[in-house]
Amino acid sequence: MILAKLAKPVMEKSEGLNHLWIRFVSSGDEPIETVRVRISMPQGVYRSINLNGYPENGAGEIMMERPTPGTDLLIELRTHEEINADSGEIFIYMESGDMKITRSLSIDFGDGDDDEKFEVDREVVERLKELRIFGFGANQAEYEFTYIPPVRFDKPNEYAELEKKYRIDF
Amino acid sequence: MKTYTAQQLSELLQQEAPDMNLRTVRYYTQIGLLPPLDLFGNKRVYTDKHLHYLRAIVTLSKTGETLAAIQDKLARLTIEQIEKIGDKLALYRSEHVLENETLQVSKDVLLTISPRVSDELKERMIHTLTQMLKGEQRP
Repeated sequence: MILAKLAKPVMEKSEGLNHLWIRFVSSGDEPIETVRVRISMPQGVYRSINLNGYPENGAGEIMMERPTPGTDLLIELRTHEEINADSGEIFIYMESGDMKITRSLSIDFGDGDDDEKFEVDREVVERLKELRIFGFGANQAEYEFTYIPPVRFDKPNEYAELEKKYRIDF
Repeated sequence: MKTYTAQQLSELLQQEAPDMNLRTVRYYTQIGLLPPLDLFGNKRVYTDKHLHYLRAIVTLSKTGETLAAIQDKLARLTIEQIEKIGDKLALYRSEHVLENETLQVSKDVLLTISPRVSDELKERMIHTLTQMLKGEQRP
């Protein structure tokens, strides 16, 4: 369904820049209407608004209408102050109707002084260079979202038995 | 040879292009938009060559070019030509675009004037330039 790659598998712990590339590779049997994409980053990693211009709601969800195979998303990722970790996970959550997909990507962090650590993925970089945008890393609105899955509480209440007996499902 | 760290280069460029920063300098280096760093002793360093490339990339980006197109164009130019592109960066500062007036004197000559220049002086400059260009065109 989707492929996801980073421009750099290793990113600087501070003042670092990277890009996440997400591509739709198939839409399955049914055409897809609206897809909501949510991205969760490790602590200390921030993302900008998507570089493709898709609208984003107040919760940081990227809304894509009828994506087809080949449609992609490019997200800029940054670090600011020194991250106190050597690695982390990026989670990508996609929802469309009943369909829910989760992907995760590992990312390592290294010191900025050692240039040899920071190799790049040519395919992601070539895609980046096709965009008409200036100033990677420039001041833009940023998000730092951590996804917290909902917790279900099974809490019995005094009406539970009555509900089981008399509930009507339309 | 003048050498710079990535931090020094970004601070130098920020004076002309406030959006430029350490992250961007490093990233442009990593994705191959800049020539490889030079070896100075046992350290890899930035030089004036990298400064000229960055100024030219920033200037061309402001015209709406993609990074792929910019990289392709710069690959065909000498370092002197690249330096000249970077010298035009000041023309794309927003205060320059907002405040100054740019007149096309001929298809080859543009004149940019600040509002501090009087109308009388502006007219004399246009007239003088036009006469000079006509003189060039006479057989």
